[in-house]
Amino acid sequence: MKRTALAAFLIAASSIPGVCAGYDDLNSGISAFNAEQNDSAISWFTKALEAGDLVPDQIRIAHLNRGFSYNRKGETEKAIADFTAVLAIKPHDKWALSERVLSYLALQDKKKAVADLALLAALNPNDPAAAYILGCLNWELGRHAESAAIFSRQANTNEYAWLWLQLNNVTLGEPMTPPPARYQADLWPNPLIAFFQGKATQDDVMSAAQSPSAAQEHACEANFFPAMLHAAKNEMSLAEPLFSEAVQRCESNSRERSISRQQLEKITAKAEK
Amino acid sequence: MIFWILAGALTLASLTTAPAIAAETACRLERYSAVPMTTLPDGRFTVPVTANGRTLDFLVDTGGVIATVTPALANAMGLDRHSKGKYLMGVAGTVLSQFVRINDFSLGRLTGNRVDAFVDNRISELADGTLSADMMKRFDVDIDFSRSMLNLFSQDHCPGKVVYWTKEPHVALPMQIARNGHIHVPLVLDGLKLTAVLDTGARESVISMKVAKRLGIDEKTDGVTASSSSTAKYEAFYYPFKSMNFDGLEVRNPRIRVVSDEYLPYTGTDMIVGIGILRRLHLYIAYGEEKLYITPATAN
Repeated sequence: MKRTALAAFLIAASSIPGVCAGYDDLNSGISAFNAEQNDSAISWFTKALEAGDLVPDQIRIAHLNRGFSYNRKGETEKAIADFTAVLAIKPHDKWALSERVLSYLALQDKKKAVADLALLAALNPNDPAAAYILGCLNWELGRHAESAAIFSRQANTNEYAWLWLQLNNVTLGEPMTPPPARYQADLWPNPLIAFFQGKATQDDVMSAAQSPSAAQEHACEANFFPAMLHAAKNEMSLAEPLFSEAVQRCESNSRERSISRQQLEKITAKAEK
Repeated sequence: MIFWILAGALTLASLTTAPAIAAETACRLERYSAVPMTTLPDGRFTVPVTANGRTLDFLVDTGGVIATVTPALANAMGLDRHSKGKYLMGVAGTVLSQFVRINDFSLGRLTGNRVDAFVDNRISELADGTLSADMMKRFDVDIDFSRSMLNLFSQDHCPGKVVYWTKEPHVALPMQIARNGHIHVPLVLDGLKLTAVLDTGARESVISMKVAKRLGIDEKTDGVTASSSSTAKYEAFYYPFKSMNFDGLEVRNPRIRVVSDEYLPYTGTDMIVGIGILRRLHLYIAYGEEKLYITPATAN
């Protein structure tokens, strides 16, 4: 009896227009977004927003994810409009701010990109996660001295910040710095640190990424960071296959994947010239 | 995906209610705290917490065993790391071995002292840390996705009298609370009875290839598509499952990843139900009563 009643309820709920229709559309949008079905995601998020019954957090995520999806399609101006809508709801949304920086960068609007970057920096100067993002964004903006300054504050305690610092140092022609004080030789990302120091080969790194204790994301990082180091050294023929592999191995929506794609586009554009 | 098996002993968090909140009549649902969710791009969500005076965003992770913080946060807060004899093992064989102690912690109106948290670097861009079963199992946890609210209620109420958000039918599933705090529930996937872990910290729902084979599915079955997150070590694919049924409440076309058997640590269950499916439900996790009350998320 209960099953019949519940099934009837489910059908009824889904057939009444306007009964939280936006929420179901939002979920469909998130699913499509996670599957990188950009057109479908945009369509669902648009429907969700048009339903007019979302709460502010849901409106925010619909705009944010639609902005991400537009960016994936190269429709940067539409993406910026969505990120701006997010910031109208939550002025300190670090996702929207950091993505709008990248969007302005894609449009070659460096002035606006830097302005957003300043907002991001002011948001919480002591927030280590925000500082890490800021360091990455500065790198993507080509502001290597600024990026290095940010990562150098974390490099002694955060292995990933150390890796980024070295990428900046190599690009700037500066020497590499000693590995982090808390550096634990038996833990990931030690093989990457060893690779950066010239003490391990790409094969060593790949082997460590496939060891019994390795996490899935290690396969991403094992391609991404060596590719970045090669690119910083202008060794593009070595970097390219690793970036391609990183695009395959890194989680969708991850910064590593997004940067790898950008780097591949740059390499292709250079080759075409 | 944040999903752990406890492999050591830790001092548990001691969240308590603020003094102003007195226990009331047993049959009445008593809400201790209501906090707004912030939805992440992949559908998971964070809630605001305060740790040693700092306002932070913590991912709500019912599949976690003990709270975690990012290494960067631990460093920024000047928290000493300890490791002796305590470690956590997670999916894909990951191991966490260092933990920190947060002296003052609060979630909405709830406060706690000397909260232990493992240090985990895998969530750095998503959140500052995770809220796990060690804290949440002291309350009834009400996850209201359609209103983007997380509510914590007292466990002191009459059995079965918890579905306050709708007068429409609901499902009351028996749930087993594992020693590590994981929530195990029965469900039926395309006709096969399974036991699953509810994991709001998991971006995707997953089953092992071994379980898929019980459904007659392998990587050569029609309709299978490869997962981009396959690695040389862990294979994965998607299959278009038709139905997941929680004792009469049906979720159609659930997106589920099939992964190598070795990818998942021992959970004592067949499946992890992640946020993509959970977001479609309103979940009231009655830890005390060991029941899971569910309706469609939009029931009101």
